[in-house]
Amino acid sequence: MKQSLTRGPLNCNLNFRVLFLLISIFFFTHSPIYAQTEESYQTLLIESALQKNLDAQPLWHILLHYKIGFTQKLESLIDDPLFFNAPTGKSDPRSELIYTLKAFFLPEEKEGIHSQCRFVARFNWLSEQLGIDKERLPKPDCNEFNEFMKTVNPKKAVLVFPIGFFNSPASMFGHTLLRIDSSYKSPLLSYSINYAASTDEQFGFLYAIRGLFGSYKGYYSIQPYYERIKKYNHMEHRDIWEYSLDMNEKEVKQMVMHAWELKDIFSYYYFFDENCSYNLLFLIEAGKPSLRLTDRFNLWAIPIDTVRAVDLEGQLIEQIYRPSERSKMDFLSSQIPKENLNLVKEISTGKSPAILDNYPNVNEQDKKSILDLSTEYLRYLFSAGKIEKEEYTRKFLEILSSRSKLGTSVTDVPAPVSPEQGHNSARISYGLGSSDGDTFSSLKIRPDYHDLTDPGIGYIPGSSISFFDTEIRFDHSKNKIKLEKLSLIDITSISPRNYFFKPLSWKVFTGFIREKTSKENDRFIFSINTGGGFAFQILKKTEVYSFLEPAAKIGGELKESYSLGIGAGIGALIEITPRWKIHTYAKRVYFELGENHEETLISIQQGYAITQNNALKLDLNWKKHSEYSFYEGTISWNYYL
Amino acid sequence: MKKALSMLVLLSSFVFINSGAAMAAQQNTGCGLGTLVLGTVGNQDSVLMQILIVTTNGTSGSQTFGITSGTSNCAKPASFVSNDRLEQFVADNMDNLATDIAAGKGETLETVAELMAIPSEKKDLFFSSLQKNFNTIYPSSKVQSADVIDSIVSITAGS
Repeated sequence: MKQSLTRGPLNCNLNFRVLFLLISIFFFTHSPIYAQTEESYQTLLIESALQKNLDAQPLWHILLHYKIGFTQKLESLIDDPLFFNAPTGKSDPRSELIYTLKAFFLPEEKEGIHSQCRFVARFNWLSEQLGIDKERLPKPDCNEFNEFMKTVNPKKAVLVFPIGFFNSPASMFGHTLLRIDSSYKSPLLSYSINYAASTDEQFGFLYAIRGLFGSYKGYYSIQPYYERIKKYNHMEHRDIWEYSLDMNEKEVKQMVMHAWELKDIFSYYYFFDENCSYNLLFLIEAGKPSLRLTDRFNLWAIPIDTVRAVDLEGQLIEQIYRPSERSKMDFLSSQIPKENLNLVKEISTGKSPAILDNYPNVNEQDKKSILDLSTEYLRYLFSAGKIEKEEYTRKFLEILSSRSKLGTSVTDVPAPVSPEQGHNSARISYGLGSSDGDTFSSLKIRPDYHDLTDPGIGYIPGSSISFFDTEIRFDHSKNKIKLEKLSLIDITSISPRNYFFKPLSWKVFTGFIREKTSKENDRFIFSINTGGGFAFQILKKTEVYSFLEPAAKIGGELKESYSLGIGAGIGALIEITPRWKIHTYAKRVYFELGENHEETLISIQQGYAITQNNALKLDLNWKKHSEYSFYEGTISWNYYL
Repeated sequence: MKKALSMLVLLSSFVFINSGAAMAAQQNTGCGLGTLVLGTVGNQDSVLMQILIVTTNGTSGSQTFGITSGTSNCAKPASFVSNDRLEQFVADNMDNLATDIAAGKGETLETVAELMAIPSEKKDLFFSSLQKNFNTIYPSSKVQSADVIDSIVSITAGS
């Protein structure tokens, strides 16, 4: 018996109705009425957005980097016109909101990417706020973005801080970058986000000037984290601190979406304020708009201060220390008996590792340390360009082959105190003193950064850098206020030479100082003083150094208005306890040209850290200017803010 | 004499301030040992640069979103156990991996284990058998990343 198929008058009618419906929908969606409906949906969304004041919401301002500038007007810090949809988008949040919504409805791409696929964070947030029905908008294929998110796979965020290192006081300012952790356990497989200036020149006077005045374009970039480690840890010998951020997956995703919006978008890079670490704060705020980070920085943003800002907001939950190659080498050196250090150099520079067998006093653990250190030293020699690649790879494998026969060892470099625990960058001091019997009060203001007797935690020993260090004194007997000092640049770098590294220590001072020429007379002059020399570590916490110091003075009160000379000095830096530091220095300068005179100084400066941001200091000096000599001492309270 | 002395003093100050200029190592991309990173060793900023508060993170050429950066033009390993991520990682970290394998442990080695999905209970064996077979993995200084991966895979399969 044949089964009759469902065919018949009823079915034909149904088919006909379906066909009619389909034809109607076709004409409807392609009719002017439909277009108008979509246009009115657009209008509806815009009206709703304006009614909800979304253009005044913190996240909108964060996503567009709007800030009130010096002109007291609201303006975006981003300079690339591609970042804005509205013609006046850079200064008008409301207009930018309207045009951004409109852009989502446009069928065409701009510069090869649809607005929904470029401004992903904005689209995501506005969709949530307005309940946008995505079916009523064009649905572009955001392939590139999707691939990007799949590869980066954002789960957690880490604020990374490469700190300073030896013989570079300026590096104490540090740098920051963000690491985005995925579901991989190893941080080496994470990607990191960095903001930097795109420069042609690697160095030079022009580089510095252009950077100071915002003549370089700054870009956000993303790279595998291991490339960053190679650069900071290996090449630049910087220790790295990794601070886990208290952000959940949704927040980290939003942050990464905002980073995508900034892809290939430039803004002018300013070393002082709109620099690497300031611009990174926008990303963190984009993930968590409730945080107050960028607002804390007006005139300048020092990287470690941005880390402290994040800490103040309670966002740092765990920190990990990643020692540099230099720190590892220093640690390994301390593990090897001094008499065997020469073996490291011999193995790194030619001898076979088998020579270790000739030394019965070198035990198994020492052998491992020696070979580990030889490997590190060899890698340093190669990156410093002191040996060629072929020689390097041959020796490298030779040492490692011997090492592989020895089993494992523990080489955990002990972590120092983390840098955000160091004293704050600015300092105010109030003191009392006496100069050749005349008492005075002293007020000092230093906007940044750190000197040799400031509390040492978190800073590089022997490194000192400051700008615009100012001292005003009130002379009690003469009832006069005088400007005692206004330094422009004051940098000292005391770097001990050791078995492997032989740096040149140096210093530079330029600024105005007041010098006493007799009991009754003093003069205010411009001084330039440089110095170069050697330093050595003679005890665990004691360094001695000596400098050759050219010096110049300029001032109307000088004979012939200038004076040029050369001098020498010796000094010592002693850390009696972690809180108590002493810097003592003696120098003599012979000024031969211009005004002919001699200057001698013997100085003992002490600093005692009472808390992280409070220190007591005692400075004692004996000064001699030609025939006139006197004692001067000050005791001061120092507060860091 | 005095003029000469003064000139000497000024000149040495000037030279000194400009000394220690950045010694940028050559970028050396490759698939073998001895690849370098662009940067300055020990970051020897010239004194002048330090005076002008230069933050040296301004490196050129890194304005990209280098998601698939690395030496993707390296020869591929023969083993089909390998994957793109593993190949890229090994090619970019040859020296560190060799150091870790020789030492029997290390972060780079842990990462390779993760990329190869080595179960955690087998990791110690994985590390020690690679260490024992160091010379097989690195027979010569011309070894390439693909060879290293193939050797690791076969040693792991064998142990």
